[in-house]
Amino acid sequence: MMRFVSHVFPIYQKETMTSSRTTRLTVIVMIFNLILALIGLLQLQLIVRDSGYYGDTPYASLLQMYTLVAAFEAAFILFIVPALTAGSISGERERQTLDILLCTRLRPADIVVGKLLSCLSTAFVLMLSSLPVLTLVYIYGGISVWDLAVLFGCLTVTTLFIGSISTLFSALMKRTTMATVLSYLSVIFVTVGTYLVLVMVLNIYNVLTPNGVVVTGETMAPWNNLLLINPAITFYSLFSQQIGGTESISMLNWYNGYIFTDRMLTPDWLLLSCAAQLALSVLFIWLAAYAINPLHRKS
Amino acid sequence: MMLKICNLKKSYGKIRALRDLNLEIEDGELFGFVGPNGAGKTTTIRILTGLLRADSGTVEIDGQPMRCGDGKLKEKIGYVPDFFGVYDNVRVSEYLEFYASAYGITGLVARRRYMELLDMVGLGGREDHYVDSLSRGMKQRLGVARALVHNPRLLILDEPAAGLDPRTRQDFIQMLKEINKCGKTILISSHILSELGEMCTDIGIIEEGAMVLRGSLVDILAMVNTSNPLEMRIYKNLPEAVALLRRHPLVHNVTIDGNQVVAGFSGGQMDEARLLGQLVTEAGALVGSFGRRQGGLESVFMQITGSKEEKVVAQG
Repeated sequence: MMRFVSHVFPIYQKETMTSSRTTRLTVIVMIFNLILALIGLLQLQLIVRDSGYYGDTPYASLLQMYTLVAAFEAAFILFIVPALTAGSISGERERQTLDILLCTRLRPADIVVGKLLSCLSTAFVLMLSSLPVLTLVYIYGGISVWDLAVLFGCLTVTTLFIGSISTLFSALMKRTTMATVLSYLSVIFVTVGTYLVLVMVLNIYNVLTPNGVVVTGETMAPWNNLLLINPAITFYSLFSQQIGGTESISMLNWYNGYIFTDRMLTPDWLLLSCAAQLALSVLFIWLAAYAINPLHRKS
Repeated sequence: MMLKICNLKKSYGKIRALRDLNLEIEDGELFGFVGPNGAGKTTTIRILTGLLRADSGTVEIDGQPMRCGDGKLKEKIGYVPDFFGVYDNVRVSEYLEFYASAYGITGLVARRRYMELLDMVGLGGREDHYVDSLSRGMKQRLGVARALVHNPRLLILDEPAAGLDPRTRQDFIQMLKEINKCGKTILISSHILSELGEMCTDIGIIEEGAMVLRGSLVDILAMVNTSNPLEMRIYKNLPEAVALLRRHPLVHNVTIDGNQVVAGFSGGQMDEARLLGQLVTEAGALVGSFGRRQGGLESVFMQITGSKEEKVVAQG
């Protein structure tokens, strides 16, 4: 613990200090909350209007408000994290300060983790600042504090996962622009690309199997695990479990339950999904640290 | 012995950047590391600072063998690169505090340390200035303060005065001399040889990855001057004196400009004395001045690195 404080904290402190001095964080928090507030208040306005018409409170709409706000929050995190982390290492390289840092007592892993923690802090600021809008739903009930804690837990895992991918690209690329582009492409891949890969696999199976033989869900089951790294599915699973009463996830499926399955609505899936994303985060952090280690650098 | 490099080798693909580089620097030395572009100076420095792994060879710092990524050994070295990277929105005090904390120095100890250093490098009173608002010269001074923040024993500077105006450069040199007097061993690489001549106690000239000349400035100049031409001023019997020179077996390439004669001479100091005697007694010349042309460090550098055939290897 002491080692963590003395080695990682200097980087974390410097990053947090310099980023908080710019207007960037203020603008991000303001825009984020403005949109959240607009979504939340408009939904609330609709609920109040509907209850005036029908004479009762549509609880499903209240929960829908929670889902809407939380989903936007998750999407915003997916969108903003690459922007926060893609320049973390390449920026040091562009400023020509990376070598000086590497000459200090700090290890490459300390630098990577310190920078990632700073990004995590920004994500926490966003999450905490969104609490007032998220708790609008408390007016009528339906969502517990535990639900919010689980939501924040999932958002933290997503931040770490996407942040570690972006940090890895930042460590690999010389230019921040390139690292940013690749980071956003990675976000698109994990959210959309994983699904497309499964569609492709399913089509390949269909082409390869003899006429009349149907590809079953069991055939696709191992491939479906690819969606464990898809944060969009993680959040869909979370919201489905939290608000309950939704139709099966397979309703979404254009391929008769082969890709999206009911398994994705279970707590096990949520846990496995978070565990897989955390494990990959650790791997990406290690790879980023390996990449910036001067002793592994190609000269 | 502060630094000992033995048979250091490093290749980038087929290019051999260092070939059996040997170097020893004593404690308290201010060592000038000279060489043309691509000679291997920066490669050597990057290996010393742990930013590059050597293919083979050993490096000892303060008697301890250097292992790559050794944090303890890194604490013995302060490194100032040729370019000063700046963080936006960071004050001078925060900049130094950050690097102090990177070495585990925090709180009042760090504050006291960086205040001392800022005074030492002539930036006292500027602790609240933003780093990016400092001039280039001030940034380089701050870079030195940063490199000294953990009180290393060896300070390594890679062409630190590049891009500084002459006045700032002089101040910078003076500052390095003061730091050296405080007991720090300094290794400074530069291609501005005149500035190294002014401050360094010892010089090493590297070319094509090997040390071709190493010694104190006085020794090097004396060593290289023996291959410089003889210069003499003759006031009487100039034709006879020139004829004698042209006949002399050790003399070649005699040129005359008024009563100034310049002649290539391949003999030693005793041969020089004999030649002077012959000019006076045999040619009856009245010799006003006689001696080897004194070369500056620039001419030494050109002589050493300009022609491989004329290399003088004088290790130790």
